[in-house]
Amino acid sequence: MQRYLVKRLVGAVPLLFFITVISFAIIHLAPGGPAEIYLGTSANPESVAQINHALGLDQPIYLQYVKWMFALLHGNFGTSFTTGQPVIQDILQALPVTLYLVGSAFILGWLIGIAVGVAEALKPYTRLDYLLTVVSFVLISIPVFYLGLLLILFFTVYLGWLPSIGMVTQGAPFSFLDLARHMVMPVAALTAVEVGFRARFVRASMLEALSEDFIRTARAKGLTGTVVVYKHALRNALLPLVTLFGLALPALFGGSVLIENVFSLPGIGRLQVSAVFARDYPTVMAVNTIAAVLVVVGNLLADLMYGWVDPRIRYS
Amino acid sequence: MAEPVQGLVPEMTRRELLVRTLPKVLTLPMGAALLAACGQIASKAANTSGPATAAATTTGTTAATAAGTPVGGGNAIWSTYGTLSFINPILVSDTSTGLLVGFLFDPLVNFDTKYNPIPGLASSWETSSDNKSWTFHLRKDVTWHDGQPFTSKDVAFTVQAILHPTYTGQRVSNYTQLVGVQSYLADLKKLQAGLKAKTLSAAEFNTQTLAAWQSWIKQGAVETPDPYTVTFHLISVFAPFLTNVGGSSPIPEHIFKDTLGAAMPKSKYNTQPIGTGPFKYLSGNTTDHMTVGRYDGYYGTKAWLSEIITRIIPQVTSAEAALQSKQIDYSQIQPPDAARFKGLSYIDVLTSPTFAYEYMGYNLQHPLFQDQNLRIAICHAVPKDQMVKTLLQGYGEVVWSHGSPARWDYNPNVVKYQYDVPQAKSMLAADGWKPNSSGILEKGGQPLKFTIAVSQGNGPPQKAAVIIQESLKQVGMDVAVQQFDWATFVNKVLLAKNFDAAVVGWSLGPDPDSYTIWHSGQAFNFVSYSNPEVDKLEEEGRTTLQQAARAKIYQQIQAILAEQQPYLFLYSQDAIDGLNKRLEGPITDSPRGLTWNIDQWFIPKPMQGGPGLVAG
Repeated sequence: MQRYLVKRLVGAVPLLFFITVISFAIIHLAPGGPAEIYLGTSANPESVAQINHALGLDQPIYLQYVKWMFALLHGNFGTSFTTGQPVIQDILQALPVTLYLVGSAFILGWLIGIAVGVAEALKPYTRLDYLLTVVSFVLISIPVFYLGLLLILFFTVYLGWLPSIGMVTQGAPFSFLDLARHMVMPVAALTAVEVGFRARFVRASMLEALSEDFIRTARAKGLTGTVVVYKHALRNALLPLVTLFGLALPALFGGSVLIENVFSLPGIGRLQVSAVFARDYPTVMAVNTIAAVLVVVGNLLADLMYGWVDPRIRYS
Repeated sequence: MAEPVQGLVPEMTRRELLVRTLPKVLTLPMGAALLAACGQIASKAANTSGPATAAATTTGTTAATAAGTPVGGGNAIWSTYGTLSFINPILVSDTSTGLLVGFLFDPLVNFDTKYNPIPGLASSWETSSDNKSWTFHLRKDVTWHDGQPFTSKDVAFTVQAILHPTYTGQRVSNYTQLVGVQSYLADLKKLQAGLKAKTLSAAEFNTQTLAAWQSWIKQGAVETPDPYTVTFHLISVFAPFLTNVGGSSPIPEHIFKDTLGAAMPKSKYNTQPIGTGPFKYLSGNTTDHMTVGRYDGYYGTKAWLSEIITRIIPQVTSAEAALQSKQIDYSQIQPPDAARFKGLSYIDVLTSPTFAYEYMGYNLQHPLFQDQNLRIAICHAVPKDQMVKTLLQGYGEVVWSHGSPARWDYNPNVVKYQYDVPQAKSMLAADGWKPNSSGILEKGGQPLKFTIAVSQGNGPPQKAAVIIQESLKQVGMDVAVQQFDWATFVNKVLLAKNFDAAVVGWSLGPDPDSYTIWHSGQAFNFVSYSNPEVDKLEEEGRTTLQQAARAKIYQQIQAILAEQQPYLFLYSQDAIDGLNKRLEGPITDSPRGLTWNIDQWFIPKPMQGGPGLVAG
């Protein structure tokens, strides 16, 4: 187990390295550098050269990468081109927002998804099953930003129940109730898509598990229905789903970018979008690297969870 | 050298660029953003005789709320769409940050909604007898938000900071008429070439550029004979000076004296600014919200509002929803939504003409477009009225030449090649264009075929390009439309002159100087228009100080452009602003923008708790 962990962690290093190289190349290849965008129509070769020199962008790209990597290994993400402040400062401000959003949607998505999937699998091909199936597909099909806008239209504009911008009411003292009221809709929108996906997978997996011989055996032993369903069937049904754990994270981060823009939440996704438009390379690279680390770690956790859920799996 | 008081506008947000105090505003292409340099404020020169006449011909609507007696207190909750950047008058380059700069910094000379100059930090100003020197007399009661006095040293320091060899902003072009600047810039260019050719080491380069800068300072182009007088010496008479330099805001020397040039962007005072304006920085950040509060040491009448909270809402739709649900006090409004907001009893919908217009520029180096008859035929074939009706829902006006109807130099009597398809067809036929087997016009075996370049998006410019494409198909032209992302569009398509025709917009500064757009060979003359008569008029325009005489010059230019059609001029959009009715005061929408006098606005006591307390 320990050896496996070490092996995986060592394996993650070149992976992260390649991710940073590719991100670095792509963002530098994008047309228009920070100087051109900042100067806009007043860009002339001299002022562009001057700004590029000030930002160190006149050096060869591999040298820029090496310098960036060197600073990163010393825990330094550099200075934002657009605010002049250390990138880490912006990220530390934005990351909790996104983690809160993505974390809530992730947990709720699984819990509700499992519940819905199990409910469907227990009564397959009934009206309930069809209804939930239709709902799942609707949730999967609606683009998350559109769902967010619909929620705003209904709960904010028509009913006036929930605020639709930011994390908290500005100018009012902080309260958890206020925070919760602000986060209900963004979390709900992001969760909805998750629920749709999870429910479909759980249903299929659960149906398969329920038809296995050991379930029949368990029932024949006279175990109660609850024990059979939740201890025997569900545990086995969840096994293949654990792989999705790791895959779900990048999708959630992607959704979070859109949701943060619709609900004006100051998270990582917002930071990244504006950084890309401004060609703020240090911020773009910092966010990419952190997202990559989170996803790689998420995948590793998913693999480790495999062993916890399925004792047959041995790590070597 | 010219003043880029103009900007390119890809999308429909022209209004926020007309933010107070900014000589130029340029927006990062965030969401529905635009890239627009915005010049400030026209005026007549200070030493011309006669009263200051009302300059702008048109202003927008005034808030319907009957203004009661002003009371202090309350937070106004504003909204803007872009993440904030450097809140520093000499570094700011986008409209969202420009809004904050407007709250926090005052210019030397301010301008009212009709673009008459009014005193700002300078109580009066005059020019020398040869009109080449400008002297500003500063108020003696102005303090920076940290309590330090504001003096002429700050003004001189601001100019030095802009001309510093490693300055990273875009204001240099405003100062090229100052004595010694052009030769100083030429020296810098030489040194840069030396650095590139490796005949100079980086260290030598740095020392020599700094030495050049210091020797320029010693020439005394900006003089400060006493703490409250500052004189600028120009190499020639230059009409846009009062707008471009007088209209800009100084930065504090005691804050920035150790962070000049490339070090300035890293100063924390760009996010926690210290200004001279009616509001001072309180709290906030660059991605979520920024709060400014009344500055009690303000030299003028103190603001009524306790605070202005500017929320950053990247999606216009979200901002509109927040305005409608009383979470915020202000949002810009998209034309299709204006009718809905007009139906809300608690919202004032204010509109104003703007100084922005859209056009399709022809690459005049392209053999096809060297034919003036073809350009005129295209103008006859395109329904501009329909664009205003469908794309702008009527919130705009057709334009027939450079400029917009709201400007004091606007010429309404130019040639108008009206929408007339048969006329277009007969002109093309007379020109020798004949339809081939597939119905496309041909001359000498060459089909009439070209591509319209436009920036990426789904706004009026993109739709206008499609309407042009469809209309020209009716008369037998084979037109394609190609979209580019904004950075590519500006740098690789427009400025590189790598296009047949391009739909884009100008957001003009209040000064009519259009030298950089129409003078032969200038940077923004990417259509390669060249007309000695227009060149001469552009040169005269910037060296003539009397407004009436200048207006005549620019009207003549407009008449020539309307006749020769280097652009297919399309329309000028209106700004549409939604405002919660709890805000009261002298609120008038104009090309000047809405917030320029926000220090005079107030919120009646019963509604000071938030936008939700408005009746209705």
